[in-house]
Amino acid sequence: MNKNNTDLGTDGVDILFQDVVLKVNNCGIFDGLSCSLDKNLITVLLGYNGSGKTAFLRLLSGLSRPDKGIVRLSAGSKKLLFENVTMLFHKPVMLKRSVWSNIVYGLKQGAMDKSELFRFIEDAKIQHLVDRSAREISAGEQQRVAFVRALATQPRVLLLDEPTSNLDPFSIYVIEELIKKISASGVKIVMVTHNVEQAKRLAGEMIFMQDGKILEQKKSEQLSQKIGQSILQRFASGQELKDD
Amino acid sequence: MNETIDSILIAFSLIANQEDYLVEIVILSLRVSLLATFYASILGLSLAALLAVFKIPGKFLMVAVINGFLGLPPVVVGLFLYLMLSKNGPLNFLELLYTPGAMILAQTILITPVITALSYEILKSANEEYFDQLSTLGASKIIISGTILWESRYSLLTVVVAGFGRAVGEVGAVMIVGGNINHLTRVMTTAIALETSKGNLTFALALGMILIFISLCVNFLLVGLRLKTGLVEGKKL
Repeated sequence: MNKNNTDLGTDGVDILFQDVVLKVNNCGIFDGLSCSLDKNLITVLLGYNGSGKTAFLRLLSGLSRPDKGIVRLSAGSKKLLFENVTMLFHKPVMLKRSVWSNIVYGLKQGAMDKSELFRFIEDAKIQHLVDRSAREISAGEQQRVAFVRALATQPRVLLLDEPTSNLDPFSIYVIEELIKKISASGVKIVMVTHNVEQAKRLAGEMIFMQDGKILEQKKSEQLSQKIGQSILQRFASGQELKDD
Repeated sequence: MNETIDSILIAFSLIANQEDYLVEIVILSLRVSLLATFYASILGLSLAALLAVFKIPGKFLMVAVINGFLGLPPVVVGLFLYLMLSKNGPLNFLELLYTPGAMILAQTILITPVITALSYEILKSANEEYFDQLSTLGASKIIISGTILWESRYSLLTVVVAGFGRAVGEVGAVMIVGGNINHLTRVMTTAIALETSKGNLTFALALGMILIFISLCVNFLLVGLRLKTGLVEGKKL
């Protein structure tokens, strides 16, 4: 089912899952999951709680290793993924230090010049916060700081686990604009969200997961067709999915 | 009651006159216990960070053993160390028996498990909070260990002070390996024990009060630092 339902070919593939088996505490999460993600598109993962979205991101980030199968950088490459991948969690983790110190935490010496970093800071609209304690600022501001901190590591792949959950509309707007801008600069983005409207705004391709399987994987131009009319509508309206 | 009042007066008198005998044993007590706390902190915090961050085979067994050593009987540690350092012992070449060095070693052995076990719990929680985020930012496990030690520094300071408290109040082990030699290895606790055995209870009580005073000073320092932590963390939204 997983293999057959992925409509994407291997051209331009940046990330490849091959027969991935993942068990956590003897509980099967993925059983032979295979898919490919287009490097030029923002991939949005949708699905109910417990469907395996975060586990998918953790495999991409290297935080979890598959019990079987591989997660690879590209179809033609033997290189595994985990370098140059940064992940943002739905609850930002701030160190007990200034915003600036948090931002430069993962920065290697000379990895990124300061002017570029300040451009990210301005884009995230946190320039007035850099000297404040990162634990003093609001959750939305913390998430924007976490975003800039992730970008400071100059990732090739950025993983976002519900980055705008519980944020105010302004923070959501700022983060969505950042996502579009970063994606346009060539960074592959894989994002988990429960917000269908947000998924429609951002997704270049959309993956719908259920019970550790990929139920649908479509590019954005195909969204209004099958997914839009069936799974997505039911998901958005809070209906339970039944096996079709 | 009169004895208590007399003891307080003697204690004040000893402090006010800065009696050589008192100054000597207070300085030696502090030197031995502070150095033991320093060495135990380096060992204990490193081991705790290692256990918290790295996946080590047999980790749970190690933690169980360290927790078991929390209640090490000082006299047994002293006796064990005495056998190691004595003329026929394997560590005789160190020539530490009946020196402050042996007392530092004994106290280090006694408080390292305390510092390790308590700081492990703190660092384990910190690791759960930070590990995923920091590792996806490219931090190695060594860097993460350093980061969580720094982020938990105020809580860890409490642990270190608790270790110092145990060290400075310890008598059994330092008595055995130090020998309570006047002007050489006599510290507050062994002096109290000696004065008590001589029946000089008023003087022993006065020394005890000074020991409590030193302990309180350390605790006030701790409260001050905790207050500072509380203020910093209180600002968290």
